[in-house]
Amino acid sequence: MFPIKDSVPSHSVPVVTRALILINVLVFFFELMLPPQSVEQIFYLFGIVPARFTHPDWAPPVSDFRSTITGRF
Amino acid sequence: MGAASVGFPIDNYWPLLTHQFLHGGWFHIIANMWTLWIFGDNVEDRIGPGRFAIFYLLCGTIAGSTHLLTNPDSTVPSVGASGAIAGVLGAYLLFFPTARLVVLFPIFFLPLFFEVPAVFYLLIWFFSQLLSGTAAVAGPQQSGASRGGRTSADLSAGCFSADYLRDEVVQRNQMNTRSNGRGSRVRVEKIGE
Repeated sequence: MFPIKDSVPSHSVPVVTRALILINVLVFFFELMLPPQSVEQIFYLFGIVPARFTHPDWAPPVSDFRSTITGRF
Repeated sequence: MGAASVGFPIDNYWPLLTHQFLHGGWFHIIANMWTLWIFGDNVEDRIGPGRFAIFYLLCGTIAGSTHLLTNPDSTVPSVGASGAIAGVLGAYLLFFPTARLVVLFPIFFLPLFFEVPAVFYLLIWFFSQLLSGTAAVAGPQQSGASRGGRTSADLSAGCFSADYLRDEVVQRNQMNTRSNGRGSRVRVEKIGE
């Protein structure tokens, strides 16, 4: 089931909605241009990794970190 | 060895904002952006672009924080605009409870079009978030339960914030009506006091 349009008319140009979509799409295309390892690093740095905030002592040993990267792709 | 040693900045809460702009795959981003395209314009139209931008980012931040607090031990990155969009959908539901949608329902190669209440579609959206995990989860390790926590939190966050916004909009509209239509009467009453 895929929505095509809704019944509510909009009286203004949705500038912010369009800008948000554009930003998301541009970021995604930027991700596509990068090698998977870099995308993974971006996800870890700019995504929410809860343990990073709640367990400041925590870090996957560097070798484990690498293996999760390669294991996923 | 601490988190900083692998490059995690410890006291940096920017990810609460930045995670909203990352997507894990084609389906993830297309589903999110299409939903935003359909429902975002009306909410933006209703509350104005500036407030819409703040509302969107706030919902995403609240959703991200909720994910952080409900899955404190997770070592998997969570990304996506789903939390912010869930907030937009919550607002849409409160602003336009009787809205209807034209939906495409492909049966084999036959494209069928139906008209359904928006509420119906929004409920399906939330349940699909619970089940299939389009809910901004980058890794397959995330448990279904945690997704549920996140989605329901998004939903309630969206509804609460939208409720607050609706009250404000109603108040503003009433003020507009007073100053336009019945403005003189109000003024007369005030002078009379």
